[in-house]
Amino acid sequence: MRLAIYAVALTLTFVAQTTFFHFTRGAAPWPDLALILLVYGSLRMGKIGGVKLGLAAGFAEDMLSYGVLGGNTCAMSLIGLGMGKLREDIISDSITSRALFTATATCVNAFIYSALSRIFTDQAAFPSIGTHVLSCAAVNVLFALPVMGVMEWAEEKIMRFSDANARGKYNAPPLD
Amino acid sequence: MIILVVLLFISITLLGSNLRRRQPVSLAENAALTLLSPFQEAVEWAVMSVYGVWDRYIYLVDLRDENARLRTMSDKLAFENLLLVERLKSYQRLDSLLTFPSLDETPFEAAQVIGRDPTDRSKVLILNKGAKNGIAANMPVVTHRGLVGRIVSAGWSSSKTLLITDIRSAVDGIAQETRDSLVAVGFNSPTLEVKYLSFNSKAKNGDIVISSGLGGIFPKGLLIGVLENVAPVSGGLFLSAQLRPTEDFGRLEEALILKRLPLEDQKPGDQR
Repeated sequence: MRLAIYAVALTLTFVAQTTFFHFTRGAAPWPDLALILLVYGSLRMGKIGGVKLGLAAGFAEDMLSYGVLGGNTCAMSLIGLGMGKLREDIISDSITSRALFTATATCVNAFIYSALSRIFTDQAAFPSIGTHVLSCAAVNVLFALPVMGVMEWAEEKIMRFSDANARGKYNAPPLD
Repeated sequence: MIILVVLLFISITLLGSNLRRRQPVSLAENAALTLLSPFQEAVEWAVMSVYGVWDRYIYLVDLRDENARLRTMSDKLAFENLLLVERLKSYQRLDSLLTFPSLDETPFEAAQVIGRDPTDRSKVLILNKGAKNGIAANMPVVTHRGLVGRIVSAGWSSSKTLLITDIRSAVDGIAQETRDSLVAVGFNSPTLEVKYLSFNSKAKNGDIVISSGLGGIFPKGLLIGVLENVAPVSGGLFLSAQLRPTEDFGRLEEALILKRLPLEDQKPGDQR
């Protein structure tokens, strides 16, 4: 069930990112919902779930985008792994860690992608990486808290409904 | 440990494909484009319907003044059109004498913009026409206002267009008035950077730049944009300038795909 929830969330994320945000007509940067979902998933499911989600989100992003092929897959998988590992060993899931992880993930994602772009295509991924990263991190953090809140609420409701049907009780996520 | 090995294998396989053509993942790319396109079309339709209700029935302030202004403009344009038709006829006569290949004969496919790049690292449009409509990579995409970009990947029912403003895009152009050659390079921003515009050029702000046809992908004579911030660089061999595309890509809803492939991509028997 959890797999289905994340698959639907990821599909909706990409539909929104490729259509709806662009109707804001030039009000860039847009939030990277796939990255926000990845941070949320890593915080909820740990490193294994993080890697799986990162792989799926990065691969879909690579297929829909243009640039260094595999760059997003690699960057997002590593972010999923790192965030999940930190969540399992050191940090608990809280509003502060969500904001901090989102900002960090945005920076790490941009730097890994930029490095891979330089190595494999000998082209810069951004005209100015510093400005790009700062503005994107700010927008992502702004969107992360409400998006993660909605995602948590929806996941809990669906899991509760599904578990109630199956066993008559709600199973909390493994890391809670 | 196993996860890391699997992750590294997948990433290296994908990254390795950058070193050759992107054929191995074309199936996955097609699947991603095809899977998302119905959702994108539905969202596009829904949002445009809301915009339509707002634009047609609610937001009618200044309509009367605008109508009067447009009528005046329409009269003026009708007269200009008359003159241009005459000029076009004379041009067509001369053109047929010289037997230049004409853009008018290039078949095209009208397409709707159903999506854009999910990240802001590249400037990509997703169009609702794909391989089933005869669309292939490297076909130019245009509108009546000018050049948009080129197809970089064609799925079964949709395709990806790399905009000329993308950082990986470069178009060989000519300043229409002075005939100076230049290269317009994308910068992931609304304007393009102009490179190799000769220091001795008489080109100035507001001059129109058209495609030169030298790159092989874009045919000659397509409007690219208007020059801005033309200025000499001290000690440099070239002028510094920017190019503002005539098309507003943020508002683009439809485009035309010219069914014309560069020579190296044509199969024997293809018509140019």
